[in-house]
Amino acid sequence: MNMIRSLLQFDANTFRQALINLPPTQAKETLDAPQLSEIYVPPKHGKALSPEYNIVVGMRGAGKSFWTAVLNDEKTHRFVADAARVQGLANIVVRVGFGLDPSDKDFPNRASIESLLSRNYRPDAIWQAVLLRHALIYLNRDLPFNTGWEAAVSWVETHSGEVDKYLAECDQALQEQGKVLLLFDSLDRLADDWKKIRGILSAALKLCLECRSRRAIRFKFFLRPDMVEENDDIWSFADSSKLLHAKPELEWRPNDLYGVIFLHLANSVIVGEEFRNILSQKTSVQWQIMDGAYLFPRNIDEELIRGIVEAITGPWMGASAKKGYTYTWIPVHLSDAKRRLSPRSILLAFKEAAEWTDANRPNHNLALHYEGVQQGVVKASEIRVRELKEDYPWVEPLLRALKGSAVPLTFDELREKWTEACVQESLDAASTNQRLPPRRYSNDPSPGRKLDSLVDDLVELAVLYRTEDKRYNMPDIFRVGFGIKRKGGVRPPR
Amino acid sequence: MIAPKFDSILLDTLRILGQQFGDSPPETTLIRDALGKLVVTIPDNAMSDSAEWDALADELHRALGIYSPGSKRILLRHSDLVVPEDILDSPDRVRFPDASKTWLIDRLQTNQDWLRKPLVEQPPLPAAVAFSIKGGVGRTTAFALWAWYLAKQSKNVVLVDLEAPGVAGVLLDEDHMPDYGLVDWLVECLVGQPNEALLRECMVDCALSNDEPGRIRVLPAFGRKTQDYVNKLGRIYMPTFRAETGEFSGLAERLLILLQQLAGLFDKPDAVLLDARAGLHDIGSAAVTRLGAKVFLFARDEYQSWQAYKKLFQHLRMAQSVEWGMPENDLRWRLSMVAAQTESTDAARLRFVERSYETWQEFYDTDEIEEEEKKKLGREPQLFNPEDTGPHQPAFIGFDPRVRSFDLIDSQARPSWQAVEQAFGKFFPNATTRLLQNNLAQETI
Repeated sequence: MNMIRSLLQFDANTFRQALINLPPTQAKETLDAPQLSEIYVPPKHGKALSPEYNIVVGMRGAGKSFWTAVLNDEKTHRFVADAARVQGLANIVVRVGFGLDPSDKDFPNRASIESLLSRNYRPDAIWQAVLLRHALIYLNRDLPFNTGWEAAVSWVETHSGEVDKYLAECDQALQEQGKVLLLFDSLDRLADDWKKIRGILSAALKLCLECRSRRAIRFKFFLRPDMVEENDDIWSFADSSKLLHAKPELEWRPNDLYGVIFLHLANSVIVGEEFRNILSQKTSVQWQIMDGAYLFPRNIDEELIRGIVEAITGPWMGASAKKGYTYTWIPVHLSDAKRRLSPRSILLAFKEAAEWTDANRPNHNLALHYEGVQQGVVKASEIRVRELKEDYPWVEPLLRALKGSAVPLTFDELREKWTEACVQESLDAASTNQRLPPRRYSNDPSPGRKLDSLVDDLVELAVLYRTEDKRYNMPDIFRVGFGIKRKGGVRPPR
Repeated sequence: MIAPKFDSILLDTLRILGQQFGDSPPETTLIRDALGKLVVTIPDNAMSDSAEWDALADELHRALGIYSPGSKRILLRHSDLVVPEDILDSPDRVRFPDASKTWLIDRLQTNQDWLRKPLVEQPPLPAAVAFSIKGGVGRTTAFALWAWYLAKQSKNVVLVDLEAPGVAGVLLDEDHMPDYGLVDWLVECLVGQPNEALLRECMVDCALSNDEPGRIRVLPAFGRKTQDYVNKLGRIYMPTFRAETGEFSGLAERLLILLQQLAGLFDKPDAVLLDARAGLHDIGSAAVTRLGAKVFLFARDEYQSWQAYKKLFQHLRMAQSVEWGMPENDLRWRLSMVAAQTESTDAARLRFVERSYETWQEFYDTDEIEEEEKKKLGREPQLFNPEDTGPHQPAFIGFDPRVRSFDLIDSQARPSWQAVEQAFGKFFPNATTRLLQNNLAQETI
């Protein structure tokens, strides 16, 4: 038994209530700053937040929008600078360059961009206009163009010398005080086909590259993994490799997921005090408070994390260790084929587990019962599947066609299921929902495009992975939600 | 007509029975003799009309050709059996997976033990078996060094060689062999006189534990005074009939008596480690499936090795102690892979896990069941992901060329414990946890 586990005893009932109160887990759709007590910074995310790194890669739920909102708010980004000691964050001035806000105010929304492009304005002029506008507002200058994006973009196209002059001036002024940082989030929603998105995204990236020669103007792009494939045309401009060679990924390790939960408990109105006291009395943990929020302790090690998890859930996923160890089982069952994890999954899983335990095992001697944990993970899978359908609607018809089949499947078995009609339905799903179609498949120039490319797209999306014997397998987080079965040799008696 | 072959006999028989009985066949037991000839037994009331019996027997006889024991013998009523219990309650009667209410009894010359129930759920004292399909994977060395680790943990262990040369060759020099060995004890056991005094003369303390708080004793396959080794070896597998119990006993039963006798010693060991030798044969089947021991399946990441394990697993699917849903006492919980001589890179380890999982998939529960059927059964399949802590999840032993030259006999040349630990990593603590605790699952590594 974990040594620390034997020292820790949490009150089952109050801890269960505290876990039921975990924050809501919807995807972040606004720029509203999160509570300080909800900001857990995984060690590896420091780089991603630093103004010096332009490209940040994150799958759905990895925190792209969350960090955009955190950076956008002065109080929260200062908090992160201090709490997580991220360099260069303390003195930034943040403006949003493209996001979910449809107001058309700080940046053109998707419809405006499309209409500008259709009237043959250059994509680079659009982004220059966005940048220039933010710069002039920062300098407190009157805008030399009328309101409305068309006026701004048209002015930029005809006054390139002045654009440069204003930006240099702004750079100078910023240098004396701070920095401007432009954030681009939700760039996948810029357009619904790869051709359009390539043009507009490339232009933004080129501008980002140009600005690297300035001292105080920086861009940061939060991009989906399928947008940073080096061989894609998005990156076919001079020196793009300078952007690509350092692209931190918003990666969550299993212990980071537990960190999210612990941070919540430490700040909980129900059990915060008890949790903090038990840990500081029984372990080496020391708490720090900043702006009213308790910080995640720095000196917390793996054994300690495991001990705390086991004090909440028990060590095993059943009555004995046979069914696995909770501490390793949970992350395994929440991860995709690339072993990627999302903090939303753990929040959801623990919340659901607490609710299940409350309803079904109210007298259980731990906060969470393993059956509840199992239910929580199923629930988290359902949400992950829903998110996948939202972001990549083309996946759904393909996986639906596999319902009832058993993985691993051979390529031929996949081909049998994915008929021409099924693939067409997949492509239609993308266009109806105004989302990007599968990247490789859409780019494949071969007539009657190749299914290999489509399979590669799913592998890239971590929905499928190739096994050593060249079949295709699927992680549980997607498999269960789509009613796909698992092969095996032992059958029930007949 | 093409002459029927061994492989087609069962399927042809089931097809013919299917034509006769449709979806609701009578309880059917197929008995395949040592040559492969088949007898079908069904209850007397399966068909009322004797002409019908004759017609079915004729059809089977014609279809099975040389594999039919004759048209009068191929189809038997339960009342035709001399002692029906010998068939219906046979320890070798296993469910035939591809047909409903159908059982198979396969009469084999060797390897009969694989599908039988374990003789005990818990061995009389903690026991671990090292098994491998191929030799040369470092199985013996690993168990010898594990014994050293256990001695360091103040444990008193006995290492048993199920065939020479094994651990004794690694741990004892010629002058320190005991007088007798396992074969001597086994041949005495064969005639019903398992002899504790003799057992003591078969074991010797190993110098490796001299400086440790614990104790290692070695029980080699033969000793200095052992005579007629090969002749004895040729006898130890023999099933014998014990008139006093009315039961047959074979190597597995005798090995269990060995464990019981070890457990009864006044200086009884804390654990027994059995080196079961490589390959699919009777020593393996007895030790792996029948003693209730924790079994370590050693494998290197090699195609042939995985293929052979796959064959073994396909066979074990029918074992009496293997059940869909994987209950508490299922054989599979007792087994776990050891990734032998594996490069210590993430890529090599991942590859091993993936291969091991693919192989184990043959032996894990299928989920290809309709939801209604699951509801009817009231059970769920036990499913594993590659990353899960199932039996496929290996303990890793690093590839270290120094290990081959480890000299455990000469105390001057003995490797440092640090060098041993470097090569074996977490194998010893993991294996010890499995051996000594009742929790059969293994930590992910």
